[in-house]
Amino acid sequence: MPRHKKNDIAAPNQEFRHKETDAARADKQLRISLDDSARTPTMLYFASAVFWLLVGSLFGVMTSLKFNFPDWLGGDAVWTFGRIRPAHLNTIMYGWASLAGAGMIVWLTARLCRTPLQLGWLHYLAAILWNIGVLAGTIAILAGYSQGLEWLEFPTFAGALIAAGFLMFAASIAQTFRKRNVDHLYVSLWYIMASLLWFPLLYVVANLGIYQGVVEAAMNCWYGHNALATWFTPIGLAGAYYFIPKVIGRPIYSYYLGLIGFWAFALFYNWNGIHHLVGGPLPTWLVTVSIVASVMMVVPVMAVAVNHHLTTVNHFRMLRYSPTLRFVVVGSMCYTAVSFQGSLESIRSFQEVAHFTHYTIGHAHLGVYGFLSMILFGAMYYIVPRLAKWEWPSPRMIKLHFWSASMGILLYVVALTIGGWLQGLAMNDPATPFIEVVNLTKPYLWARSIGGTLMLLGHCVFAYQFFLVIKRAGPRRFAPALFREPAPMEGGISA
Amino acid sequence: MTLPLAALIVIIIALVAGALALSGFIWAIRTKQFSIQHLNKGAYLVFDESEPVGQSQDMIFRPAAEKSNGKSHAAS
Amino acid sequence: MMFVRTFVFFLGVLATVFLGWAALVAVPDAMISEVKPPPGLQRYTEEQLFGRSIYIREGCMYCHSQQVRPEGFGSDQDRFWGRPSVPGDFVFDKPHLLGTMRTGPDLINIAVRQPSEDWHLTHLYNPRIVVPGSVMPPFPWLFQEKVTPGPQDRILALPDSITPRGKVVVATHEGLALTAYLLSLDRSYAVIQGKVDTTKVK
Repeated sequence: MPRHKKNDIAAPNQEFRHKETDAARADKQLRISLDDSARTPTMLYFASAVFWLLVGSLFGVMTSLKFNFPDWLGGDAVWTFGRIRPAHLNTIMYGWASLAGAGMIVWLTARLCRTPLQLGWLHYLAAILWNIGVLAGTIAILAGYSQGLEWLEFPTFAGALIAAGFLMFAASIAQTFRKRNVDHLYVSLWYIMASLLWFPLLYVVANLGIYQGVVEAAMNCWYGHNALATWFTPIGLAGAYYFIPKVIGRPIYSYYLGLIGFWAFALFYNWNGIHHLVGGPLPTWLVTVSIVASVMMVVPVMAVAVNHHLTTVNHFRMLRYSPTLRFVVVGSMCYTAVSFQGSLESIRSFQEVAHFTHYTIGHAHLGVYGFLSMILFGAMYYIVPRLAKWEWPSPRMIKLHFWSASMGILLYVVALTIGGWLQGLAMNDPATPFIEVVNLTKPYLWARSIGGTLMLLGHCVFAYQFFLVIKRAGPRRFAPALFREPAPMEGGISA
Repeated sequence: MTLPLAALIVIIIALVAGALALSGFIWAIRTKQFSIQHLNKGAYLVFDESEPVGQSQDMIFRPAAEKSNGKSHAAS
Repeated sequence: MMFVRTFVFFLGVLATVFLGWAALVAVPDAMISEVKPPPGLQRYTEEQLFGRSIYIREGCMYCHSQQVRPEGFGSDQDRFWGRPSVPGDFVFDKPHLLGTMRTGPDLINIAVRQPSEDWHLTHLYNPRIVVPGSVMPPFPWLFQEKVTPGPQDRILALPDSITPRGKVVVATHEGLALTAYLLSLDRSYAVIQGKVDTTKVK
C-alpha cells in the first residue's frame, strides 16, 4: 500500500516532480497496453452511442414539442406522438445509454483486471448486431410494429439481435475477467459482472411473452424497473466508483460501506417494480412488497452517497479543473436525489397525487439523464483522449456542453416536478374538469421543451467535438483539456 | 392459488434466501475471504505507481510562469 | 479458492434477481392465472381486436390508462370512471394496456361515458374539434377524403372550416375498427370479489 500523508495532493499549480521510477514506468506501460487493447471496441461503442444520442435527443425534443403544437407533423403516422415517444425511449436506452455503458465497461474491465481485453474481435460483431437491432427496432416502431409493452416495444427480431450482441460483449468481458491479474475485485467490477449476469436473464424472460393480463403488467413493471436495477444503474455506479477516486487521487472513503451498498442494492432494488402499479388491479401484498423494497433502497443509496461525498469532500475545488469530475459528481448527486425521490414517490399517499402525471417523467429523466448520462459524459471525457491519444480541442466546448446539459435537465426536472404535482392535485379534485387539468400543465410543458432543447444543443456540441477528436483536429495538446487555461501547444507526443 | 398459500410460499422463499445469504456470509468470514483489518485495501486498486494516491488526474493546471518548461506530463 | 469465492459471488447475484422474479411475477402468476373471466366480460370480436392493434400501433397507452383505482385513491370514483378494476377485467388483454400516464382520461369504461360512434370518429380525426385545448394528436390517416362517398361509407360530420372543399371525410376500416374497440371498453358489469380481492386499499 503506497504511503501517503493526509491531504497530500499535488496542488493544481505544482508539477508533480519526481523521477519516474522503474515501477512507475512499468505501470504506465501496462496501462497504455491495456488501453490499446480496449481502444477499437470502446471507440466503436462510443461512436455508436453518440449517434444514438443525437437521434434519441432529437426524438425527445420532437415528442415534447408535440405537447406544445399538437398538430405539428400531424398528417403523417410516422411522426405521431405515440410512435416517436417510444422511439425516443428505446434509442436513448438501448442505443445511447447501453452502448456508451458498454464502451466504458470494456475499458474499465481491462484496467481493473489489469489484463488486456480478451476476445476483442467479438465486439466488432456485437457492435454491429446491437446497432442493427436498435435501428431495426426503431424503424419498426415508427412503421407501426411496436409490441405495445413499455420498454419492450422492439419486435422480437430486433430484441434478439440486441440480445445476441450483448451476449458476445458479455463473453469477451467474462473471458477478460477469467484471465485477470488481480487478486481482488474493485467495487466497480462487482457491479459490472453482476449486470452481465442479470441483464441477459432479465431481457430474455421479459421477451418470452408467456404472460397475460395483469400478470403481464406486473412482469412489464418488473422488467422496466429491473432494467434500471440490473443494467443501467450498475453502469452509472461502476463509473462513479472509479472516476471519483481516480480523478481526485484519493481512494474511496470506505470500502466496507461499498460492500454493504452493493449487496443491499442487489437485494432490494429488483423488488421495486410493482411500485408502478400502486392502486392498480393487483393483490395489495404485491404492491406493498414493492413499496417496502423501494423505501429500503435508502440503505444502499445512503451507502453510496456517503462514500462518494466523503471521498470528494475537501476537494470540491477540483471540480473547477476537471470536466470528468464535474460531470461525474453531478451525476452522483443526482443519483442520491433521484433515489430518495423514488423512495418517497413509492409511498401510497405520495403516489395518489403523482401517479399518472408528468411528475413521473421528471423523475425518470433525473435518473437517466441527471444520473446516468452525466456520468457517461464524464467517463467519455476521461477515456476518449487516452484511447485516441488526442486531447479534446476545445475546453470552451466542454464547458458549453456541461452547462447546457445541466441547465437543461434542471429546467426539465423542475418544470415537470412542479407541473406534474399540480397536475396530480388537480386531477384528484373531481370539481376540476379534465381539460382544465391539461391546460394547467401547458406552461410547464413549454419549459420542458426549452429544457430538452438545451440538452439537445449540448449533445450537438459534444458530438461535434467527439468527431473532431476522431479526425485529429484542433491544436495538439499534451495535457488534458481543462476548464481553466488551455495547456500550451508544443511538439512532442504525450505518453 | 389462495392468498395464504401464496404468502406462505413467499415467506418460505424469503427464509431460505436469508439462510443462504447468512451461510454465504459466515463462510466468507470463516475462510477469510476478505481481510477485515484491511478491508480498505481494495480501494487502492485504482491506483498504481505511475498514477499513485495523492496525484490527481485530468486536472493539471499550469499557471503562466511554469508553461515554458516543456515537461510532458503523463496524460495517459 | 478464488474460483469458489467468485462462484459464491455469482450465485448470490443470481439468487437476488431470481427471488425478485419469483415474488413479483411467478407467485402472482400462479395466483391470478386461475382467475376466470367474469360473467359480464365478452371476448373481443375480430373487429375489436383489429382496432386494439391500432390502439397499440399509434401508442395510445402512452397518454391513456385503462385501470380504475378504488375509492379513497384519487378521484377515479368521483369522476365516474367506473368501479375499481379487478384482475378479471383484463384476462383477454394481450398485451396489457393498463398504462402509466393520464395525459388524457382513463379509458377502461369509455364506452359507458361516451357511447357515440360519431363523437369518437370526429375526435380521432382531430381532437380539437370536439375538445378545444386538447393536446392529443390527430389521426387523419385513419380517414379518407373522397369526392363521392360509397353507399357503405361512414361520413364524418365536420365543421365547414375543417372539411376540405368539395369532398367529404370518410372513415377507413382502421378508423371504424379503432372506434369499435373503444366502444368495447365497458367494464361496468358487477364482479364478485373472489379469491384475489383487489378492492381493499391499505
